[in-house]
Amino acid sequence: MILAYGVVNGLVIALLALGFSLVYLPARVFNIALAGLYSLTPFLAWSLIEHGLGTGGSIAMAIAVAVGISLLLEVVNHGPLERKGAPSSAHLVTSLGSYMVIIELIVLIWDNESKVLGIGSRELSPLLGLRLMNSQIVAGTVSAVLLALSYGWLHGTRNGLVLRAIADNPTQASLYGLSIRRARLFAFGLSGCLGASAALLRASDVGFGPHLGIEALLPAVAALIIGGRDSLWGPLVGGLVVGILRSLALWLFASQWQEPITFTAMLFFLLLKPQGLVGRRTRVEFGG
Amino acid sequence: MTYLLHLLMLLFVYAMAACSLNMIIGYCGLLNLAHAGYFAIGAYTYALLTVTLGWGFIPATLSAASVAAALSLFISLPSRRFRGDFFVLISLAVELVFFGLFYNWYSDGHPPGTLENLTNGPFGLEGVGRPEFLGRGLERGPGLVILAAVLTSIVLASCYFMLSSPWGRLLKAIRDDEVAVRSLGKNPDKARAELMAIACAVAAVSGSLYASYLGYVDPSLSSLDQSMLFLAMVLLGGVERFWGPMLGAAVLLLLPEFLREVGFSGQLAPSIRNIIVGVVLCILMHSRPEGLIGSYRLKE
Repeated sequence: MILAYGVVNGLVIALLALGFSLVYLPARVFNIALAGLYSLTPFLAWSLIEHGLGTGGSIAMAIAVAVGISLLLEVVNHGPLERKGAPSSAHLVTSLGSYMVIIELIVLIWDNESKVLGIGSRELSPLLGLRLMNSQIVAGTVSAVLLALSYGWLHGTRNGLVLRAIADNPTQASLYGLSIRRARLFAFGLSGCLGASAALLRASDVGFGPHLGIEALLPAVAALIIGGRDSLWGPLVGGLVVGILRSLALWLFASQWQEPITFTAMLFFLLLKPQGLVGRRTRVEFGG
Repeated sequence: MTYLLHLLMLLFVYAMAACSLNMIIGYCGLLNLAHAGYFAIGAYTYALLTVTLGWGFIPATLSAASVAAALSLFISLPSRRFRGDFFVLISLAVELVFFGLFYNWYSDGHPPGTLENLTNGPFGLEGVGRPEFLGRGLERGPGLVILAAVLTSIVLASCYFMLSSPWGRLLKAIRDDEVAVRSLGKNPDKARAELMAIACAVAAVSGSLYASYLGYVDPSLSSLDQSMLFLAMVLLGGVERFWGPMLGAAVLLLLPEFLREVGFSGQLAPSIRNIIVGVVLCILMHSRPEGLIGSYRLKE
């Protein structure tokens, strides 16, 4: 039961972590604005449902807007910075800046309160004898499907191959004549889509508020480090580990100990096994 | 007049905090998001010592500074191994852990300041002691502002002399080429840890000054917004340049006042200010990465 709960949470965390990693690996952008998108999507979906648009339509619209904003950030901000040869701290600071703008816009439009998206059913599901709520079953299934689709895309199509090549070595990939710009757009778009889906799944389960984005992104990044930040499989492995760890923490202690335990595990890995569970060993100068 | 004094007071507090953050960003080349945590540690230590033990301003402030200096190990130890994005991430985690402690160290039925209820959780601590001078408590007003001015000048002057000493040059050299400094037989880790301890202590002093002025503390002092505000002050004013953060602090403190003049209501003003800070950070990074009067660009 605890395990099943952890796996469901872990899959949602893995979804967000993969979204983060998809931008981090090819573009080396530490995309904090993704936390802004994560906060924004449920509010959009909620308003659209309130305005009488159907549930499916609202969800699609909200995800489309998130993808659009993610692409916009790349076109307006990170792309030009990259072409100027800006250091990664410049990407980080601008991403923080965009995050602040998105969050304050949410607060201005929708107020600083938490809400619950009324699309998930909170009844216990009879399925498999597990005591999970229907919304959790949905969250687990949908994230598993989305993860499978993303990994399928990365490993089965030419665009996915190009993205993986760029993640491996951007300079060499561009020497081969691959279009870095196009691949980066793909990466940002897919990242926005995965982040937005994770946000909606989480919102239908436990509710949403303007500051949940950053609270969700940090465990996802911790998962990325635990799993291995150099590998695209890192988010999946790390997400499951973090999800199970967090539900164990919930079961053994109390909810406010989830964050300290997550970050202690992250620090532990950073100090003792910085390449993560499935990452390759790199020299400190490059891995740093 | 009282309003002008209020602004001056804020300016002193933020100038000190921003200057100490500039020591970490400009002299180590590390973006640090945990600074509001240390600011709040200063404020809380000061508040607890004056509320529960009845200590005076000077011993409480000095203890706040030493606590923060000791806790600076949380960011100086990781800085031995991590640079760039991952240091930022660790400092963010440290910041959230501090915030979580201030917010969660609370239990019903115990008076604030006991081991069960150290920080009184989201409600914060009230009745923080004011500084006394010649046996008379300084109320909000010219007395406290003069005290703040004296304290800020002493702290900033000592920072200035430390940073322009051989030790300050060593730090700059470490920032620019750590391997070369190592080959000269210097110990970069030690120098960096010393700098971070000093910077965190200065942040704590500004935090305790702030707490003594407001008369209460609450967890919002250590929020991420606060850290971003400090960061924006440093980046806007100019990294490394000594007067840069003070310029940035002045601009960003006067901005809400300006917004209120233009007609935004008091509730809207903080949100609008944060939006402007976000946009300004983006524009700065594109067109002037070294800040208004700065001389150094972050490399990693």
